[in-house]
Amino acid sequence: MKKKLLIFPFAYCNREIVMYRKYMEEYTLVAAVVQNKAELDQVIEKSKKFENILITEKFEDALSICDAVLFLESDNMSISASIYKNYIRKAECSGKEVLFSNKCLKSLDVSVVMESILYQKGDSDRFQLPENTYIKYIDIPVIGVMGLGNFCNKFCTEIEISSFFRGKGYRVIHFGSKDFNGVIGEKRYPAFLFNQGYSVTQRILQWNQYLFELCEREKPDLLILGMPGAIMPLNNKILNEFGEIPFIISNGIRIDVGVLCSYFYEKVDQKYLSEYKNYCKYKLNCDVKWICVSNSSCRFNPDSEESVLEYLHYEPEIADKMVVEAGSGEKINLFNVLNESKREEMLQQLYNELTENVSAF
Amino acid sequence: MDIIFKGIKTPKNSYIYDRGRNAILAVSDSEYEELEQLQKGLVKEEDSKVLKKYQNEGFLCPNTVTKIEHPCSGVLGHYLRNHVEKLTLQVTQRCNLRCEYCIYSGNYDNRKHSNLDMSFETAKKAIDLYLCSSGEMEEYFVSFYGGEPLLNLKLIKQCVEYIKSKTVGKRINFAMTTNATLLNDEAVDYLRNEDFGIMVSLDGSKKEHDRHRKFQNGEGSFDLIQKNLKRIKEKNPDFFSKITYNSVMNPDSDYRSVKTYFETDELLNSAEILTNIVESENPGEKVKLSKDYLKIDKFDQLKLYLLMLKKIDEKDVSKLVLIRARYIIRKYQEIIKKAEIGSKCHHNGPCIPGTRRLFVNVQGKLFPCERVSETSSIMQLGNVEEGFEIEKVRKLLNVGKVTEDLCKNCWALLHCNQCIRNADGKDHLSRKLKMLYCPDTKRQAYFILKEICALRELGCTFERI
Repeated sequence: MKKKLLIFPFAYCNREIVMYRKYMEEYTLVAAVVQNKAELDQVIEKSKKFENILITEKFEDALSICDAVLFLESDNMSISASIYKNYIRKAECSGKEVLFSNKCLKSLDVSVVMESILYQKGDSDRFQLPENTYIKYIDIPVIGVMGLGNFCNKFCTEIEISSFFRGKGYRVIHFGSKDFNGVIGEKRYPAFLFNQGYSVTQRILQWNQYLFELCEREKPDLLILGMPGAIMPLNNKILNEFGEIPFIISNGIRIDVGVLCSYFYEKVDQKYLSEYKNYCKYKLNCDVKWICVSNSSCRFNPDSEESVLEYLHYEPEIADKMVVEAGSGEKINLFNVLNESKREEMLQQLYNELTENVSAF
Repeated sequence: MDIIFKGIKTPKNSYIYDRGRNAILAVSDSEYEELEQLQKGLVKEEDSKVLKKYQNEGFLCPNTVTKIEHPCSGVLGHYLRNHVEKLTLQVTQRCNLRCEYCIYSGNYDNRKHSNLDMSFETAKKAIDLYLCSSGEMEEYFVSFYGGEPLLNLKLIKQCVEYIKSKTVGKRINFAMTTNATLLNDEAVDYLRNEDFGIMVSLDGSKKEHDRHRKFQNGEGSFDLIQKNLKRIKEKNPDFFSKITYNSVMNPDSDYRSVKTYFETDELLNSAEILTNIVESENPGEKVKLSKDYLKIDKFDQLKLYLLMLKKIDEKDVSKLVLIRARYIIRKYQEIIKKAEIGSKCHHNGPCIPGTRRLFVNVQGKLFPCERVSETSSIMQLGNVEEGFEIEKVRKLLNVGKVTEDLCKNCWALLHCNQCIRNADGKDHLSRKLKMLYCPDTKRQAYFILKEICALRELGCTFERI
């Protein structure tokens, strides 16, 4: 029987865990605690899919109906550590299983979490360096889902693609871009990928070897790689680690089809979008044919001299506006993952692309 | 000719500012002359090799601007519902001073001093409106204004408690602009405990300050302010060190004396000072400052340039001009992007009214900031009962529409900082009034582009100071 799960905080950056809770394997989401009413309305309006979940500001009320508590990061970690500490203590005193996302864990003081159980699912960091020093060929179709930054609806896109192909009966291995994805049942990237102690080359080789052995073992029909982080810097101050992780992932295995997740822009055209396509082609060796348009946009904080971003989260339908504005070209198609009919259309096209390709050795 | 550009000459070189790319092109003297002749219609576009050369590289292309529209027009509703950054509450219209240049003195087209206070009910509604409209902000910013806000410290305390009771988790930043005459121990202790950011209005030494900033009985306020500041420094040095100061320059100000005071005074020599020039009483008219001011200011600017060129140290430059360096660097960083102008464009200057700084007056009326006239119906964005009148806000946001035909073809479009106040026709946005500011706006735009050219010639790297 699945354990009942409470999440804290329920914020816009974590909304996918509510939207895709049906994919949880070990848990059933029963409650989500939000910080204050004003934000509650914003998050609910955007997410919409929250039936049968208690959404409340009162942590104690939610605690009484759950077996486990998952602590997540808030938007820009605006919630103080003392609040987390207080809730963690309450959860522990009530005998609940206490879980953390990696991001949340990294931002909290060690003393706050040392008494709690650390949530770690997936492979450990112990991995032997491969003897080979070349990239092995992995003969499995790969869809790469990448993004320009936070709130590009990348995780939503990955989940929809994954569930579509699973629905068609394919064995899918999906590496999720979000770090709570283990709860939702997707695979987590191995920790060595993020270990700065290894060089980029070593990590690419390790990743290739890891995937090779995984595919030999599990024989999937399809790999979906949701790439953590952004693929490129935004400007000379917001560097996004220069897209290091997507670079490593895409060099460890050839990506057959790319889906790029972008912010909403008021004014954009195919010429502008093709610049992104070229970037993905030459840096990530990935042919981007679809661009998912988010319902969020970003702008620079006016007081930050272009070093800090603020995000605006619009109604889901606004992305359709950009899809129409930019039009579809021969080489790039836009879609809004939150628009069900357009999403289905895109998924079917993606399916056709993969199944109707010439099969050559 | 439908190519919009502006020639710029420094003593050494020639440049062309291309509005279509917001870029500065270094050109030879002969190229400059040919482009000048092109602009005058003495040379045809198709005959100009210089034009072709630059057009091949994507510069000096025909004007693509067809509409003057603010880029946030389509998502204005979202901004007003989710992205209001700061709230300013006018807690009282009372003031214990009668500063001669005050915008409420009766010399300006604005309300006058009165005895009105904001009620707690009105304040609560304003706060609720702000909290409901700022969901996307990471922090809250609430400031208190007047009159003299410390005359209604009771309401300020009530507001602070109310805000704290309604918010959990997010940081709240409180701030206040004050004349500092009422900064007694009780007030200071409270402000310190709530971590208020304080800005004090101070116009310089006693002679300069008391020239205009007086009590109702005509006596100067400097001595009391000094006494208060000294006491604060002694008892609350950390709090004191965070106080910032605002100084207003008048035509009769002795700028040398003001500068010397802020740079050498024992109490204030390490404080952050902002200077502003007094508002003109007549729209479009520039305030005539003294020749002495202009001379000293120019010399300070020169030293600023030398600092930017790393020829002198920051300590040798007046802190009153340092802020200009940031502005020049920001402009340079815009220019080097060489971003293409779109078909829809709007000049800079107008913020998104109601979102950058939502100002609520004692009657609960909403305004874009405390600098607009409270007696102007066109500037009112709504009220705390009914919220924002979105179409009114949209109209203000698109103030450029009143001069659309001019703006579409204006070379300074992307460097124009005209604010909605310039077009305040009381019950309408006035094209005539807005146009009064165009010549000076263009002069300022030209000057900064020329500064950038000259600094770059001299090897400036435009790194942050």
